Amino acid sequence: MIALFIALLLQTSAARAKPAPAPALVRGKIVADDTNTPISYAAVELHRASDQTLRRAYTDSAGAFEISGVEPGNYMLRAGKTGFVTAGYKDPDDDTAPLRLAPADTKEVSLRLARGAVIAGTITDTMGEPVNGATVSLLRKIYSGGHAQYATPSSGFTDDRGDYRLFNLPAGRYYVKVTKNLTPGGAGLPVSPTFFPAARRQQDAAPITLRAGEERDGANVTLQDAALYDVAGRVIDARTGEPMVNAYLNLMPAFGGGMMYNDRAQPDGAFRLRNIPAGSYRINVSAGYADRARAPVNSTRTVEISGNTSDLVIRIGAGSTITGKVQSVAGAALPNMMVLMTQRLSDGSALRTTSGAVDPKGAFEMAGVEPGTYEIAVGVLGENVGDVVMTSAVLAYASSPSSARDVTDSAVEIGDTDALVLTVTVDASPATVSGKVFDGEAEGKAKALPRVPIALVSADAKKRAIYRYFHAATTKRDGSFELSGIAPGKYLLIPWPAEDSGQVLDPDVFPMVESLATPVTVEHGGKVTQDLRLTRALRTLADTFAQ
Amino acid sequence: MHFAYLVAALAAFQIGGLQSVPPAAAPSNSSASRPAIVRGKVVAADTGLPVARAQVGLRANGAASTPYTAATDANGQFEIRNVDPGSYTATANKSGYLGGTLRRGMFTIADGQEVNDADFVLPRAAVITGSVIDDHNEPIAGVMVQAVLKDYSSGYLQLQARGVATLTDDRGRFRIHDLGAGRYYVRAARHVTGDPAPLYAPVFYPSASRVADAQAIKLAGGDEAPGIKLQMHESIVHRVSGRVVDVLTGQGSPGAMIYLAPDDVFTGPTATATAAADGTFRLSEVPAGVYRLNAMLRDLGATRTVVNSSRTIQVGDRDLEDLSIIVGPGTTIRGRVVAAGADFPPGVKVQLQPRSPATGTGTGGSLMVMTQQDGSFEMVNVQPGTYEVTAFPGDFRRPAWGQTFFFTSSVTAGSQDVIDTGLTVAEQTPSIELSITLDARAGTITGTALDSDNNPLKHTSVALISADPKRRNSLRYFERAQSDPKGMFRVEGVIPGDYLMLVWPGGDPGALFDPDVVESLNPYFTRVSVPAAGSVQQDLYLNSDVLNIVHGLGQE
Repeated sequence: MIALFIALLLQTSAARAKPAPAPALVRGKIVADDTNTPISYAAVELHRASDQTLRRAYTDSAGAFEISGVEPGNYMLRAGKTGFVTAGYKDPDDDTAPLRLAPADTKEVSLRLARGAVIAGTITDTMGEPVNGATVSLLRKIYSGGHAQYATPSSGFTDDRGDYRLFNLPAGRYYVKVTKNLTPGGAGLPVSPTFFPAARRQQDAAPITLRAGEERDGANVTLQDAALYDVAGRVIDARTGEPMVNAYLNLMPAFGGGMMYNDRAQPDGAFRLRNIPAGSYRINVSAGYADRARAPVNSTRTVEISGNTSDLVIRIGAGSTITGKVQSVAGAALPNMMVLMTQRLSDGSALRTTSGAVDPKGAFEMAGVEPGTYEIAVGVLGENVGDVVMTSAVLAYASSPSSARDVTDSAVEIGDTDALVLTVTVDASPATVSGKVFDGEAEGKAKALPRVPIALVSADAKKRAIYRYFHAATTKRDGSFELSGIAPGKYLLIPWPAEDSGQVLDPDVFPMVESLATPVTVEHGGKVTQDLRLTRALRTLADTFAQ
Repeated sequence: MHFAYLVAALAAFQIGGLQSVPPAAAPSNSSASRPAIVRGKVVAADTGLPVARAQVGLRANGAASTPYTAATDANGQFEIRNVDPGSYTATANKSGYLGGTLRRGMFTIADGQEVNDADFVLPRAAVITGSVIDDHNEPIAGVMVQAVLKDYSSGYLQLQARGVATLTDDRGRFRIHDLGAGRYYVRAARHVTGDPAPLYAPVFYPSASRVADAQAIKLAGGDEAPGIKLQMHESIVHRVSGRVVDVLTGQGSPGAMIYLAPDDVFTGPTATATAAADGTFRLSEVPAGVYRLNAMLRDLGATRTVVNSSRTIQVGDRDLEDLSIIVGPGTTIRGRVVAAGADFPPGVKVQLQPRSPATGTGTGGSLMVMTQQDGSFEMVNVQPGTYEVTAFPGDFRRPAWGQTFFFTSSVTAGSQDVIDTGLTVAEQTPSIELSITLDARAGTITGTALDSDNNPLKHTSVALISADPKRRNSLRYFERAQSDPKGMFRVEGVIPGDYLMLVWPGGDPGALFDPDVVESLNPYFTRVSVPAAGSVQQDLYLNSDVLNIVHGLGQE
């Protein structure tokens, strides 16, 4: 019976076939960006994310490749070769658009690969001994909403001689960061994360600027011994002040890497963590209440350790409750709206975001909010993000309406078990700013410039630190740009011919670019049109700070 | 309300030559405990000279705490003060040396104790350096290069990576460091990364696809083997596609998991896929080779236990299209176990150990079933493949002390004895009948291990392998024993037959599963014939050539 079944199935399976659309063909040439010479034996990959289709080809000695018999669809095309920076196909109008292959298409795609830079060196400890197995990370400043963050485009390990080598790097300005975990057996002195050449703090790190194809040897780092501190304190019930039961603390570096430290608190809630290297940490506490009927809790806080401390009191509670209403200054409040409270680490990255869904009557509630400093914002689920902006936020203790204060443009500190009322006003038909960017140096009729990054930043220094007052775009093929979802206020508009227009908010850059910016005033629901000129002064400045 | 603490630095440690750092969260039970002191010395194993600037760690056992650490001075000496009493593990590290753990392992430090002999002897580490190039003699970056040792301790070949493997750089260069002395094979494999790059077949130094054809590199402590050049070739890959069908419904099985694993674990990559809504699946890039193709159904509900299918496929010079994987009940194997030479023992189990057809070695994933009191058994859902069949009472093949040893003397399927060939379960076989005989009449070999001057060799391994080369890939005919302080040994539970015996002056006699090793030792075996229930007396002499050959395998 079963055998019969199987024979049948084998037949039907072999007979299955679908009429296929006419296949497409992709061909092109891969050349070195600096010399214009063909790159032989480069690997070319055509990838379709939807079904993980992957087609490979290699260039011949003339740098040419061809991939035939490709199923029509949307693809990513990339090329790579040892010694070069991998590059991909980019649509001239839209960097994120895929390579679209229609049935029977023949597409010519040629890519220029920049020569990869190399950075190499030796890591030693403070005794001059080579450090085996240290992690060497290359950091690069990137901007998110105008806030500088550090990306790690490449990392590696040192060998037994302390040597490392990172390669295929794009030209740019880098920081070298070295970390070393203790060996499993525990031998080895605790060391601090160290930046090139011997700095414990990121702000003291010396950047290394690499040109395309440059080989920088001798980027040596002396790994600094860790400054170690003791941290002691108590874990208590925020409501009663009684010690928490079975409290267990876990301390981990806030920005990843490094060791974890843990301790179980004494019955009186006291804990002591010894010899913790200085730095930013997350501290996770799990604990039970003296009243066993209440469920145990888990809570995460941040702590900055830069000295011995004996009185770190961790107050555990049910968290704060924030209730409130959202009012719309124009138009009805959009459906699917959320009130968002974001707690940030010192580098601007989000530690956590607490959200409350807004009901059709505009009410929302957030319970169990952990203590900390939060930014308040609104968001819309789905496609309408940016179509609503927060114009005001007022916070008050539920018990005391007179405690109300404006928290629209400032971070707010939430306590252990506060009951708070938050009133948010939103503008559901916010303003837009649009225009064109022209070549500022051209004689006569100026040429519109495509692919120029634009930044719109608040004219108010206090607001510039807040993410929702930063807007960015890149000009299209005709030199035009449009920024939407703008809250009313005074702004500065800046064309910035570099990789990322968020760079204008860098504390080193902003004072120099401020006088070159174009001021614009945005009214509620306004449609501001403002053309810009990309002047030589702006170009020179962007080049000076080129990443 | 705000939870950031900025406390001024009160103390900074002076980091100099002879100093130490106390640990965090070490046991601190009471104020009554008096701190202990731990002193010691670190020397090089080869010269006995002090090792300066070695880092010594003292970690409290069972506690996730920062260890006490110290560095040695110019005389190789260190001192750690203010140690809380407790149980510790001590380690010493120095770049260029293998890390050492204190010989006695864990040790307990008493209240106020002064430990003055925490001494370490560090062997010098060996290094293998070289480069990897492609078909065009250009360097290949991002290749994982490993040093591996052959390990036969499980009865079949396994490769154990040693030292710190590295990825090749943009010049194709690698440096494998922190290696102990040994006989290494160097293996290069490039895993798929984010950057576009050719696919390469893994290779053993100098350019072998199998470890059997690889060239070994013998390293003593502190050796550096430079200029190890490997050439990798681009893999030609094929597409493997088909459909997974649930035999009970006759329908394609959406969401079935497909897992492709190379039959020889050292030669190729694994690949996975998930079947589409109609049960079809596709694996894009499979290099030529023999694979085990496994399919597993999900979400079957409580009434179904039959969930997987496994078969061997060969990928040759073209795509494999339209494979049908029928996921069904597999083969039912039933039969009976009987005992000869003793009463039928209680708790007899029958085990099927898969054998890879490509390598003839075990590939893990054994099946086991308990027999009824009358010795009958039934095993369902056995997937196609070749299996070694064994029956034994109790939990292990070897009996507990004082109990009768039974060995499997015959396994008959139809009229064929498959005890040495293995049982082959073909595809679409509904059932197989087996009869298995357990035999209590094993033999015993006793004797003394002696050196060439007739002096007894104490605590030395002796090993025996079958005289029949066809029986040498099974653990059934392989035995080992250790001589006592008088050099006497006793090997029990020997299946009757002809054997070759040898004093094994090394660590693991499992290397005797390697036919090349047996070949090189061929003149030095002593032949022994073991009759049923017989006891044989045989002294064994260690030949100095054997000593050289075994040490040449890199065994210390």
